[in-house]
Amino acid sequence: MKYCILIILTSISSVTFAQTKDPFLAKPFEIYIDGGIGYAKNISAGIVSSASGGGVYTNGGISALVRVRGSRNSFITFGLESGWQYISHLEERKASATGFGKTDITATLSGIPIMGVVTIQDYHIEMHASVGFYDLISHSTTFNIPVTSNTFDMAFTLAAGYQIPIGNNYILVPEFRWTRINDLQKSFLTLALRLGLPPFAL
Amino acid sequence: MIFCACVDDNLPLPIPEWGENVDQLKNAVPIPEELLHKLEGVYKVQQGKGLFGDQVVLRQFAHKITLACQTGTYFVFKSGFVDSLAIFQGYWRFDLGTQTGLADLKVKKDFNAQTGDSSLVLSGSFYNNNGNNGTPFELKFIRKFKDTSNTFLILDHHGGRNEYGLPYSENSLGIIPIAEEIGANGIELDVRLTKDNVPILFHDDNLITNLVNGEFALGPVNNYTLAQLRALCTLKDGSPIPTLQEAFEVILSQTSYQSLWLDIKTPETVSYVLPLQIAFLKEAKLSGRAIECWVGLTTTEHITNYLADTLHTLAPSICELDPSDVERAGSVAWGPRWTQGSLSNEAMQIRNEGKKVIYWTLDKAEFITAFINHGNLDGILTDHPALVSYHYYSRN
Repeated sequence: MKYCILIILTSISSVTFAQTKDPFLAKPFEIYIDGGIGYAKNISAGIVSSASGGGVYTNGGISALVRVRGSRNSFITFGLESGWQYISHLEERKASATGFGKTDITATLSGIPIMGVVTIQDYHIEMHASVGFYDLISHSTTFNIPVTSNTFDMAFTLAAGYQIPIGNNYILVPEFRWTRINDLQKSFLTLALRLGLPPFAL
Repeated sequence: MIFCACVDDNLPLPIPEWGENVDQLKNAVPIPEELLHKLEGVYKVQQGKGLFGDQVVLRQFAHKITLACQTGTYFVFKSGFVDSLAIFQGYWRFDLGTQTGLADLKVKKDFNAQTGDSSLVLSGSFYNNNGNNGTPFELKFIRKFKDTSNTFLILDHHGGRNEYGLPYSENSLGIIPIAEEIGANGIELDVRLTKDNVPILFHDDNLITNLVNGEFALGPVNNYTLAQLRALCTLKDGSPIPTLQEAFEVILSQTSYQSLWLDIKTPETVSYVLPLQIAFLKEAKLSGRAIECWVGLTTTEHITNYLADTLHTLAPSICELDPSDVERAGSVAWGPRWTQGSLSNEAMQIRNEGKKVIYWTLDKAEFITAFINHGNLDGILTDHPALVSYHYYSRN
């Protein structure tokens, strides 16, 4: 199913792109970089949970995003986005039934998105759809032994923002974002503020 | 579409249970196993064909009977005498999906007089999960099995795969006895090492969310000690990832399997498994159990490590490589992948040497029947033991 979604999103964007004037022909070596920070709140049911339960469990947190794209003026443009997302944290200081004695757990899960993004923009309104992967990174300490481990998980994002010009080709963009990390079965709503830099000529 | 992708289809599906007030077996007199055994055979479906197909295979296991159907559905019934009737109550499950429900069956208490002839008719009903919307069915005895030895091996892959809606997770302690109920007389379990070199049951290299709950346990399994795995994650059914030793204990105490195939996932695991395997076989022998246990050799590195271990002469193996590798490893069984074809000549040669040939992993009816019909095999490893059971035992 996830590959189906990837193919359909890619196909739709490819067809749409083919019907529009190629923005790269006008300014072929110009890129736009936006960066921002926000707060992500988990809205999923939490099928994936800690084994031990109890303790202090935080679900969601700071989210940072960097987006690179080809144009800020064309109706449709393509780009890449990355960043960092605080996903969850567990502090448990109680004994749990592992059969290995007192189980102290400190664990943090964060993610680095690596995604392709299609942006449609007009009248200062931006709509983004992204497909790609999250590099999920877990730092855990149990029985006083730290472990850092990671895995890649497919992810989807839909976002909407409003461009506020602040002079010298800078813009501010309040953005509302929905993110689904597929196998992890977590969905987030993120409210973020981005700063758009003037174009970089390559 | 995006929301469809969000559904977790790997969660266990509980066995439907009869409520307290409709449980007819709570005060029933147990039916002797040897009497239940006489019910075994192929039955024609006279009524209710939708769920069954044209005929079913009835097999007995301890105090239970199992109906394996042409359609991939199976029924598992507990049994007991109530007044003048032999009552069977249990559940049905469609093996290729998530549909399941309750079912009951009855026959006159003196059915012994009719066993083996076509006057024997079993009648019952199947229901939805709540015991409602009953649909009657009727089964008429046709014939006994062609092979009554129960030596043809039907091995359940991982004990049962997560994606087929079973009541427990694959490679869990809970699933081990369940596989036997639905027609398996052997089981295949996946074995790999934790960071502290404990052999555990787990298929994949990585802790993926299709197999475990626990968002902080990510990446390679062997990044974590057993204690850390127990603290940070569970299998999808909520049980801890079991050790091989725990699985051995369940197999000995809760099952009557004839064979156990240990699929060793990494070559370095071999030397940690052999002492446990030998101890298990010794304990089985002491308790009077006739069970074979094979360590699986899947690569040349597995064979090298196996032969380098002085214990290998006491630890029977099954080799998945070429017949020449079977010879070199001194394996007692050959496990060719079914996609290579029947390999009739090689299979015949191996069997002539007194070794077993078991194909893996056969799941589709047309291939199951094709391999059974070519005849040079001792068993099949499958995700659908009831389907293999149907096709093997329904042969005329």
